[in-house]
Amino acid sequence: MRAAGNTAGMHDWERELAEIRRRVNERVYESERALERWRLHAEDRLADADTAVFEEPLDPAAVPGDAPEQFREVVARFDSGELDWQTVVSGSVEDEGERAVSMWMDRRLGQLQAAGRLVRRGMTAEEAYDEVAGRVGR
Amino acid sequence: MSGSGTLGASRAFDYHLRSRWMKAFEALAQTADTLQQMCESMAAQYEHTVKGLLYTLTYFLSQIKKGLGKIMVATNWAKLAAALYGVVSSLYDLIVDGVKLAVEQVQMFIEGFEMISATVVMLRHQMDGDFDALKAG
Repeated sequence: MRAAGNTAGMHDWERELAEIRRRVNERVYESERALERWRLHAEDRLADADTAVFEEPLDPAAVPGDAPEQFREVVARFDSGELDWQTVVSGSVEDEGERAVSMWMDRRLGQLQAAGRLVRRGMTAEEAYDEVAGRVGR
Repeated sequence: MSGSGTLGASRAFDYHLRSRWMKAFEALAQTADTLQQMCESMAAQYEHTVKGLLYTLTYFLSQIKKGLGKIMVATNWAKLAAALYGVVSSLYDLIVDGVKLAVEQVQMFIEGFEMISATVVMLRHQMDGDFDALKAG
């Protein structure tokens, strides 16, 4: 009697173990699917990113209205790779022309921050540009 | 008399070995196998998540740096700023989603581990009493 009872218990136990293994495998499968969904989403985002505009060359003759007179010379050095714009923005420069451009870039950063705040309030980038650049001159 | 008593004990022990202990150890081995599969899968998933995040971060950060360089010197920066805003938004969304995914993976791992712990506890309950004769001896 005892043996029969124990064998019946053993069958329940095996069923329960199989059910637990099934649930663990299901969890692992769900996790793998979530990872695949994220990977596809990341690929879509990479493909949709409109970065072509960053590759377009700027007109070397175009100078912002409020830029210092040394602007064109300093930007030409950015383009040739002789100077890094981040170095100039950080202010780690000795040259007088570079310093003038650095101060101007600092003001531009302020414009960009102001434009960012306007975009967050619902303006388009174009409207924010008109609002901010219109105030300080182009 | 003594012989029949020994035979009874021997049969009982044989029953325990074949019908209960062997099955219990087999179940334990399968549980350990499931745990190993789960750990290997989680490790592989984490590796893919981290590699994916690093690749995405590297790509988007290089684009942001390039875009900022252009915005800093462009005459009209409206179009560039709109494109940069899009890239930064995409990067932000992907990081948030990546972190959510990592949290979900940890949650799934915890649940899987809890299930396996429950299996071990169940094994222990099922085997409860089987070793009493040995302890008494």
